[in-house]
Amino acid sequence: MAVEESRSEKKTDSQTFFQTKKLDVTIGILSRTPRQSIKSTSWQYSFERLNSQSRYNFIPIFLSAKELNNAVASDELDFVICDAIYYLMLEKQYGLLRLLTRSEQHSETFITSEGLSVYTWDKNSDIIRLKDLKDKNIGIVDINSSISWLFLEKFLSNHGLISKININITPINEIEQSLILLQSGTFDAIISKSGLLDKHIAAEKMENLRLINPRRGWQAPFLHSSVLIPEWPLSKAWYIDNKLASKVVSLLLNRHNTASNEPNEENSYFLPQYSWDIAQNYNAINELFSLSEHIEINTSSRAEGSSKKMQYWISFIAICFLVGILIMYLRSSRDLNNRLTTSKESLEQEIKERQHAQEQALTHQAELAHVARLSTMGEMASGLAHELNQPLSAIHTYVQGCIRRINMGNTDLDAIVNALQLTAQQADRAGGIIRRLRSFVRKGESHKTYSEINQIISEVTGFLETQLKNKQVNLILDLEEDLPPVLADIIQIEQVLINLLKNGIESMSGIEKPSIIVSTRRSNHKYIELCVIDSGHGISEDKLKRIFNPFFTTKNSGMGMGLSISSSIIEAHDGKLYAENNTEQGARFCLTLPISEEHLGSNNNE
Amino acid sequence: MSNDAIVFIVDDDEAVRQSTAWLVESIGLKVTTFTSADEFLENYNNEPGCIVMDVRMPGMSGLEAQEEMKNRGMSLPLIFITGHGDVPMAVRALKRGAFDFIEKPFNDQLLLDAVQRGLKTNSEAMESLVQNESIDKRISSLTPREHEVMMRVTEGKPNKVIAHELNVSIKTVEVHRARMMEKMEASSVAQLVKTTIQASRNNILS
Repeated sequence: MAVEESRSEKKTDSQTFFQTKKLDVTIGILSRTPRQSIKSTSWQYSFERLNSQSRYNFIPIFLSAKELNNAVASDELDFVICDAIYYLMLEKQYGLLRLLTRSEQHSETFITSEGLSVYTWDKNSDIIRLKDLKDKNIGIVDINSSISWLFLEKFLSNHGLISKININITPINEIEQSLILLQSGTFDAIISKSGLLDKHIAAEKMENLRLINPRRGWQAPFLHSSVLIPEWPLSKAWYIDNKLASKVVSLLLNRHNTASNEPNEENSYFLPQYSWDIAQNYNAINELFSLSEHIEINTSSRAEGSSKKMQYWISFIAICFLVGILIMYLRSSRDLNNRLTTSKESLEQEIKERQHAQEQALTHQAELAHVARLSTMGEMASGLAHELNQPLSAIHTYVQGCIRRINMGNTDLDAIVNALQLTAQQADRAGGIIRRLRSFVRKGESHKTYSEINQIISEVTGFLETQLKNKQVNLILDLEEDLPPVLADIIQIEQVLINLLKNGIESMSGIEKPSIIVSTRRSNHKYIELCVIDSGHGISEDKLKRIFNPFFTTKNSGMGMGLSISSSIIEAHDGKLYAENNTEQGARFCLTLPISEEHLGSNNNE
Repeated sequence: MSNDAIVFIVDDDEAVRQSTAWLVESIGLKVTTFTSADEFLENYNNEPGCIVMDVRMPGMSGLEAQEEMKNRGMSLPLIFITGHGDVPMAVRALKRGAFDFIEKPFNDQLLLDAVQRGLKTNSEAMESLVQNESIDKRISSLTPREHEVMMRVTEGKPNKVIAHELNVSIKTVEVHRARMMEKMEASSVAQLVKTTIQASRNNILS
């Protein structure tokens, strides 16, 4: 993570340092025009959302295509927002990973696809098809850097057009102006992002404006001249961990509520604000373009000549690119020298910061685990209610039996005392359930103690007794006795186990004679292995790979965080959580936990 | 209500089972407890009484046990208790002939009332079964001729008409009639009619 320190904070004492220091997170945004501030751009709302928490400081950095490429290459950007085609290039080269797709509001709906629309006047009778644009003057309506330039280039080259060679294109920043220039004949046609002009055209009743090559797709309510591709993705750099990525996703996905509908009084947004949706499939673009290029080559002989020019063009770009990298390299080596000379203090500061970041990461993980526990409890509420109902019914019934006997003059005191003792036992049982519940949803930092793994299992299976009973699941415990203790946070390990068992139970719906085996054994002299083996439907190969990813779920309800959090909990215990299919039926989830050092055997201390 | 009626309590949760037994015993009823429906079905020996059973149990569930009892021709009133307040399940159970459906934690009076009613229904059923058996015995002791006379007497026909229909003398009809009344233990025609109505209700009369 690019943690940049500001000079002013050097002087603050350590106390306020820990309280106020936010971690800087950089987000690169592809933009044709350089900008300093996020104010009065369509990104403003997204960054307000991102900065609505107190842990991180999200900084937007507007960069041109070249600058963006260099910044990604030198790992200066934590997140990147750019158009789909540019993203695919960066993904291939630098391993960016998309998290979300931008969505724009058109009337009532949010659209996650974009296209290009080419307009001309009706009187321009020589422009019928897209390839007729050759040698013409074209205005590109690029409001607020809304055009995906690479997409535009691809689109044009698919129709045998290459800017500066056989087509003149000029960016225009205003809708009005572009239409006036089109009307006056300065431009033969204008190209805009699809849907952008619709409102304006409808309002001005410009009926003699003609859309070339009009198409309509199911993804969007507006007409467009090009194919539709997914909107701009927000992607993360390879080194950003899932935790921060999850945080960003959860902050941005809370959309649609206030985005562009309700501008609040203090800072009303002049521009439509972007919001975000689940990431779209970007790989389809590759097929889309290679396919249409193919057709173009077969149908047009001119395209061959232009594709040669294209190659020349590409090699020119590549050389520019290499020179850019060289400059960056030289610059960064100079920076390195500077940094070495200022060394010691800033290094110490950095170590401090790292420690702080690590502490924060730990707290963050504990918080996330806590939230997940609460949600697990919510899902289990009805089962727990039943579990509590049992001792309460028993208490009620015992007491009523006693009252009746006493009222009827039955004075067998021994029997009544015995019944009252049993009543007290039931009250204890109810109290135990409440205690367990309370400690399970307890908030707070991780408390690691020496724990018997088999003990934890019997706690958890007690917890899930009702669920197992209702689903008629046969639970088999295959526990190795006399296992050495592990150093673990009991609550968190219970959470993982409950999660695995619940998944197991749910995976077996519709299976005859469902059964779950929970086994423990000493896997080698350093680890204890615990497996939860179900007899369900198993997991398909492609799902098996993604099953521990955050937000991955196969259930109708649920956030898809359970296994991801479980995995991070076990990793925080220096163990491993993995899944595989059984050879016959069902799946198994196994986790390993290290045996605490004191119990590894003699001579192993220190 | 016969004194040897037993309340059978079937629940897998020990505390719930024992406390229910304690409550039912407090009004002086005999109780036998079982931990599962299987155990109950294995050990049941046609004793009179009624059943208090949990709906959800490991192994055979309450509803499965109800089905099985139906198949075995057992007519013990079955009172279900449940901790789930599961309305569709209650409807299903009652439609299949459950005697009552009570939610846990139950009002003690509600359960005891249901148990009492169950026992009463059961003992009445037993009684009428005994009665039917005796009527059955009486009717089968009649000769075919006496049977014919009885059918005609209950239809309100005088001896003369019966004699004509059966093509015998009035004297013979009188002899058959006297013997039939004696065998049917009826002192008047009205009593005879009452007995035969009860018999026809239970399909004893062919």
